Amino acid sequence: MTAGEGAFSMRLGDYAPILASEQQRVLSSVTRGEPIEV
Amino acid sequence: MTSTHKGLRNLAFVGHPAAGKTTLVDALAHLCGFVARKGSVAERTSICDAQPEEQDKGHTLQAAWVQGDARGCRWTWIDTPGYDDFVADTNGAIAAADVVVGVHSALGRPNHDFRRELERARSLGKGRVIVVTHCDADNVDFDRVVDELDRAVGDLCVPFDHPDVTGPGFHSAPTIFEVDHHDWRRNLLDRVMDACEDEALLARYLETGTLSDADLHAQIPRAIARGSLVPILACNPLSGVGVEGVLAFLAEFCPTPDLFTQRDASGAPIALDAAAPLLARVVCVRSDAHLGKLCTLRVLAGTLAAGDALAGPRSPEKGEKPGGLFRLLGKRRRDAVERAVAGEIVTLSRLEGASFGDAIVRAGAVPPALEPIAQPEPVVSLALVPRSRNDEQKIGDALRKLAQEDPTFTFEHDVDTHELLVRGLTEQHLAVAEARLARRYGVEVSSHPPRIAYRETVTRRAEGHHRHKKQTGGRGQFGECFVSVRPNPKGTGVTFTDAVVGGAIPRNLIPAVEKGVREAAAKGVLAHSQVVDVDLELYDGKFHDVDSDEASFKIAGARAFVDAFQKASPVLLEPVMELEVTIPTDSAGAIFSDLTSHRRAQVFDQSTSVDGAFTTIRAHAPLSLLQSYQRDLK
Repeated sequence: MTAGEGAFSMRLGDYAPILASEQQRVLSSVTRGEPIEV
Repeated sequence: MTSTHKGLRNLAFVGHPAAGKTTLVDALAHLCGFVARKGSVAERTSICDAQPEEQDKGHTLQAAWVQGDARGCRWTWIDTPGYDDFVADTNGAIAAADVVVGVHSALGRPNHDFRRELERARSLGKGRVIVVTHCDADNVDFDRVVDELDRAVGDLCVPFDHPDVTGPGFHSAPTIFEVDHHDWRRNLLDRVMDACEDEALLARYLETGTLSDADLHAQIPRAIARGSLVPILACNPLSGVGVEGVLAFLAEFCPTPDLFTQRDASGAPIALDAAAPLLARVVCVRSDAHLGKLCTLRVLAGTLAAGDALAGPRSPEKGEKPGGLFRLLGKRRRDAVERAVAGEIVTLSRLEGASFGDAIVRAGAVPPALEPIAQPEPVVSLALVPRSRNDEQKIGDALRKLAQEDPTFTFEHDVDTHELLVRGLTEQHLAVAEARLARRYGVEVSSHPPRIAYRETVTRRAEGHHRHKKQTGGRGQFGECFVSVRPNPKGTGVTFTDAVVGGAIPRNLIPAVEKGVREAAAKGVLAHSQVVDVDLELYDGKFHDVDSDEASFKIAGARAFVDAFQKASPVLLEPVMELEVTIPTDSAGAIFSDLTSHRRAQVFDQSTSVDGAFTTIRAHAPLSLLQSYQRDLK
């Protein structure tokens, strides 16, 4: 995916529940004391 | 020359990277005799790109202000960065200038940044001129370039130069007044008369269908200022072909400040009067190793004299006396001046209370509100870790100075993740900031992507309990709490309800329970993330006459909360961003697909520019999948 040029902007919209599978991954990282890979 | 607004020419050069903006400004400065030898980007002798980071990368990272008197004009040329990573300086330059010169390479098509900057100039009421460079390159067709610019800018473009040969043989660019090009001249007359406010002249034009050269020449600056005419010039700044023509055009036709109306935030006009009370605006801030803080100001009204005490919205009550008044020759020289009148641009040293965009007045007066200079929000974050104790001590001051220079660069200590975060527009923007930290301020840091600031909440009601009991000699500890948690409406945070009846917990110990609960909620239960939108009710408990104290109930309350929280089907909440992507329409399908299938985005709007060249997609997507999006998009 390459646009080559263009503009991108973003701002915080809201907080929403994370997917269950993602939650498991994040919690595993925290339990192991590792940085959360994204 | 005399210092009146009639001779002033304030121009910002904008355009895509490698279009030749810096080379053109270097060529103009040489032609005017501001420098003995023409600067060169490639040879690292440009008066605009003088910083080591700029010379290493071979392109402009910070705007350069080139000022001097020549050809009966007092010039200010602002060479701006081409990459949108450093657009803050471009926005300041456009705000400062009367005319925006879009520099466009004949080798490419008008890109999004070029269009955006010219559109920004139009919306701010600035005049616009386009200079087409690289007219001598292979396969260049000037007529095609004019058509593309006309479509991009909106049918207002009129070529003033007519290259003798398009392609490698290009060696002169006769003007529209020297060659007989009927269509262009007709178009020029129409564009000029669209802005004409002289009714007698208008009547004469309608009657005869033409104008004398003298009338036409007199009306051209007004038509540029009114936005009804966008002249196109042609040159090759590297070889110098056509540069003299560009300079002659700007000296004769570039609108002067009196053809524009500056307004305050209420829309009231600001009179361009050198005798009026002083009003100036900060359009650029720099930090100089020798002179300290340098603020470049556009004088909107009145006269600014060296030694004046000045005040801005953040200045001390008595105002401040700046260290000196300068005109700049790029990033290589400063010439002290005594005063600057309305319409001029000038630089002050040591105006410590001033920030980008501030209105500046004489001490004792109240600065009026000015329309803010709009800047994009930072979208990329990086966590910095100072390498040593010494770096840790210096980093705060260094970051503050960098943030002063660049309104799109911010820093903060994240209370959720306990990281020192810097935010900018792109990864390259932050990489340059990191390099400046090391080179200018001697602060070495390591950096890594920031932790995502998740939140935690509950999805159903649950009860929890904890008895804290400790008896290890001496006075014991005892406290027992029964609590329930339930979801709160979004945005209400953590609330605490005391529902204890019958003195099950003494009144004086209940604040300790609340303190324990709030501390536990701030630390998080699942992933060390802040708990939000939970109502906790303390409904029962037990105490001991001797052993119960605040510490015991604080622990009991915190642990009872954790117990209830874990039973209440807790979930992690992730930050969801509202994003806007503008891309060439050719790429829109791929970008849309990537957003929806790989980044869990929900697209809620999609629109296309008038000429169909660019598509804008608006969507919601989780931050965790957007941290490298800026880089991926390129």
